[in-house]
Amino acid sequence: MGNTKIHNDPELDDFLRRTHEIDNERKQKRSNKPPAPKPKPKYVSQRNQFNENDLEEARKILQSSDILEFNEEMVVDGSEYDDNNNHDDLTFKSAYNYEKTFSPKKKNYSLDELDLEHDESNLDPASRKPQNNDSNMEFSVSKEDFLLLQRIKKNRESKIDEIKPKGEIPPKINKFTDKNVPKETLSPRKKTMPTRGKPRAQNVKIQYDIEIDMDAPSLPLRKSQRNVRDEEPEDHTTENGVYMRRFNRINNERSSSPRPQLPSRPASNHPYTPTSRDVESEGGSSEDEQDKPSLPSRGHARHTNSAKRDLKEYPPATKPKPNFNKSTKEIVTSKILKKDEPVVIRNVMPEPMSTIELIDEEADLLSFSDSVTPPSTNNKKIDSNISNNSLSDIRIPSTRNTNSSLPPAPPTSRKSNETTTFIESLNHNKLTETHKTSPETPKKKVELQGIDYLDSVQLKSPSPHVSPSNSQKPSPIKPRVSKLPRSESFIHSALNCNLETGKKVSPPIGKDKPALPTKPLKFTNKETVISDTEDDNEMTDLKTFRIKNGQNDEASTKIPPKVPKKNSNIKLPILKPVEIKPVSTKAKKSLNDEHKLELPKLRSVNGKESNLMVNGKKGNKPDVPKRKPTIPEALVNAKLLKKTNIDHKDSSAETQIEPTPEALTKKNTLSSIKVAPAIPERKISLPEALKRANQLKSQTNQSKVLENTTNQPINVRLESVMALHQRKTFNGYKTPSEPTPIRRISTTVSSSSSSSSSSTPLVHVTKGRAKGPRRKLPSKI
Amino acid sequence: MSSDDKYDSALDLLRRLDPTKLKTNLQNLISLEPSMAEDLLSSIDLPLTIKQDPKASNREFLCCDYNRDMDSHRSPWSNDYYPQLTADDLAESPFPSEKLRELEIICNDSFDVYRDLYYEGGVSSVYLWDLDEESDFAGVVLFKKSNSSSSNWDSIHVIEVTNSGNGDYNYKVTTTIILQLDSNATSELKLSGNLTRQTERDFRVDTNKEDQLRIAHITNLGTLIEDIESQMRDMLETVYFEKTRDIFHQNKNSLISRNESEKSAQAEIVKGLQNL
Repeated sequence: MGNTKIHNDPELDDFLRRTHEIDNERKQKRSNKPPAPKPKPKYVSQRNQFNENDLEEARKILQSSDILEFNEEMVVDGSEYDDNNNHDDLTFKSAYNYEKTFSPKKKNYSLDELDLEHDESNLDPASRKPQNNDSNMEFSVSKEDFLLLQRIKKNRESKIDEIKPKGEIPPKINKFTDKNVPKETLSPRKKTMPTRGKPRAQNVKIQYDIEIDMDAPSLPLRKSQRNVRDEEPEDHTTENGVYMRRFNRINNERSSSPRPQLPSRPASNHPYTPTSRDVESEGGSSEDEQDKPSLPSRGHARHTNSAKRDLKEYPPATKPKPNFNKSTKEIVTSKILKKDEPVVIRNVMPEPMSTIELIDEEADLLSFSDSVTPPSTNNKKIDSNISNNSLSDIRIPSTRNTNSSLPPAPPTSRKSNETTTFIESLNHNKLTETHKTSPETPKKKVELQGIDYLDSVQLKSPSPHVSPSNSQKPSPIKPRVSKLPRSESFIHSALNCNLETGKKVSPPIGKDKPALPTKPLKFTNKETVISDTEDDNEMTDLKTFRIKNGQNDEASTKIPPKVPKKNSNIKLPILKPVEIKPVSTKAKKSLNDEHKLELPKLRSVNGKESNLMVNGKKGNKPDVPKRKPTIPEALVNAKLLKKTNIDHKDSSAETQIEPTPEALTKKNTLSSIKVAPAIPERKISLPEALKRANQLKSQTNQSKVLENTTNQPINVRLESVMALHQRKTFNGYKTPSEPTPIRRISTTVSSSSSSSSSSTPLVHVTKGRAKGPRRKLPSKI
Repeated sequence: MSSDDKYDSALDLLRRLDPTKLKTNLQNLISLEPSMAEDLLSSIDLPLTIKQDPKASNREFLCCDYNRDMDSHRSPWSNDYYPQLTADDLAESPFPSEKLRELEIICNDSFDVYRDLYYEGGVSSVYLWDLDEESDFAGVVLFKKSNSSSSNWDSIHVIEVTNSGNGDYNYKVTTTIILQLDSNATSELKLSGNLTRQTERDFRVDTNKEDQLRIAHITNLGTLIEDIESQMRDMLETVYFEKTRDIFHQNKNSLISRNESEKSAQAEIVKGLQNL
């Protein structure tokens, strides 16, 4: 759209007409380029027809009403190309496009360069295409949106006709509508309103942002706001005020900087401006106060037509525009660049620029439309802008308005009805607004970006948390919180945020207690009494409770000291029994009393048991009846034991008497015998006798050997001893570890036996057995 | 050196030589002193061999020097020598008398039962021969059990029954058990030896009937051999296997035994010197 506007702006200017004529003359003189001149005559002829024939009529119309300004934008949208009869629109477009053409001038572009570019080529092919093909129109604007715009125009015009019937405007739109738009679609707005969102979501275009402003929900708000503030008293433009606002914004934004200069400029010198102001004054009589600034811009634009050098002074005033460009980059980048667009930009901007810069320039141009686009908020900005004279004074209140009052209003209307895409568009719009405010108030940008994080600028519940400056926020937040449940995701986020804040508040209150069913009710009742009297009975609104706590953190700080008192009261009874034991003597007394009580209980029980035993009933404790009989038994036994001791003593005495005679008798017997009893001789068998005899012999032999050895020298003796030892070892008898005489004997015995065995030859049993029958020896042997 | 001394020395020598090479040693001795061949062959017990009697359906029979004649052995089953001898040789070859042959048959049958009961396999053979006295007789009861070629249990009971008169019979049994144990071909551990014991027992037989006398001899011999084998088996366990245990313990505790023996020897020497 920005491109189309750019095409339209120079085309409609009177100044450009002159330049075109001059250029055409030049071209005719210089070159015979067929494509360039051919379209021009058509287009220029139209212009010339319009301009030449209808200039005066258009001027009259300008003087007559502001509605023509409204129609100018309608022409800007592209309807003028088809309508040759809209002379008035063309004239007004010329006035409007002056301003736009001067916008690059404000960016330090010289009028000469612009004129050259306009004259040379770019204007004409751009003008051709929309004439030749309606599809080209569709490229710039989606059909549906364009039709909607046309419908709105119709409606407005119809209303305007009612107010101020003018034969020129209605036929323009009627023709267009008769040509392109079916009648059925034109009549009902509301039917088409919901359908708008779909093509917008599909086609993100500059006019899309513009059309958002055209949304129906925004319009009634404007009415209300305007009615409240009385800043925009236009009655006939209330519904159609979007276009007016756009135009006014553009004018205001451009005129805001030159305003200090404008008064210096004698706008009254030009015939147009007083007329326009007069018209505005007339419009002001018709409650259009906003249009007043817009008209001086026109006048200013028309003054520029007369004085180009004066326009060179504008650029310092238009410095904020690059800010707008940045804001609109996102929207512009989403666009599909077309061949026409850079061409148009060339028309506007003579200097060679990169594609990005071109886009920026487009955004600059679009910013005019974008500035118009933010639907409701921008309207109020415009109001603020109108009210203020300087840019700084204008921008700051605009942001304030957006933060404080304006944004909450749109969510109520839009959020309920429309899709998220629309919300996103709002976000984009508000980003643009913030960028506008960015150079002077960067902090507010950050705040608004934080709002973007929550997917909706509408819900500014986090924003008040971020910005503590707004002291009056908690009160407006309450209804917002009530709106939260619509989007669950945001609810969770908000609740989490609030829960965190609520947790900070809750610990003194005692979170463990809400688990109990009764206590939370108490707490809720108390806190609700403190905070709000709403919804005290329902515990289901814990979310709201927590949110309220989160919101009223500072206010709720007073609550916690009260609550710990309750906790202390609750804990004291628990601590008392533990701590009081050493301190309180009453407990000891009570314990002693208890012990005392226990003893009589036992006694009483004994009595009872005795009674029970008497009654023949079985007692629980059988030990007690046993004790009583045991005592006499013990006594009896003790008596018996004494008696027995006495008896033992007697018996012991008797027994002592008895053994003595036994011993004496034995002694007597022993003494009497005096002769040892005869030991029975052992009968030794013959083999044993033989063995002993052999042993004795061996002993005697050893003694003899030793005796012999004594007589012999030592060496011989040693040899004999060694021989004896060798015999012992050789025979396999185990030598004793300790050479005792007894074993020595045994060894000797063994040696003797060995000697005897060795002496005896081997007995071959087989030698004495039967030899068998006589037989012949084997042949082998 | 008298023949007895040679004979005794030959017997002593063969007792101390390797029992596994007893046959070769015996042949070498006989080759040295052929005059002692008959005595040595009859007095030295060699491991039993087995032959088959073709007439008795190739029934196995044990062969020893007592049933040998020339190079053939008589079968108790068929009372024939195998390999068969020539007629001349057969005429000179020893055969039991008929009475004794009947007893021999009965003894073979009865000891075959015994063999089956105690050995659960193996081969048994009984050979009898007559003695000078009619009532006396001698014989040999052979048992052999070999699970493998290398391990053998050979028990040779040479019986000699003499009638002392009045129905008393003296049973003299010379038992030789040749035990040869080879665990496997790979292992070098071998246990082999022979144990010879001689027992005599007198039994009274109050019958004049030969059948009852046969039965009495069989019963007496049976009981006698049964007892002797049981004793001999116990002796083998205690001798062979306990001796091996002793050897192991001595090898293990050789140092201790040496120290003890040295100490004892030293102590004895000292005492002997003190007595000097």
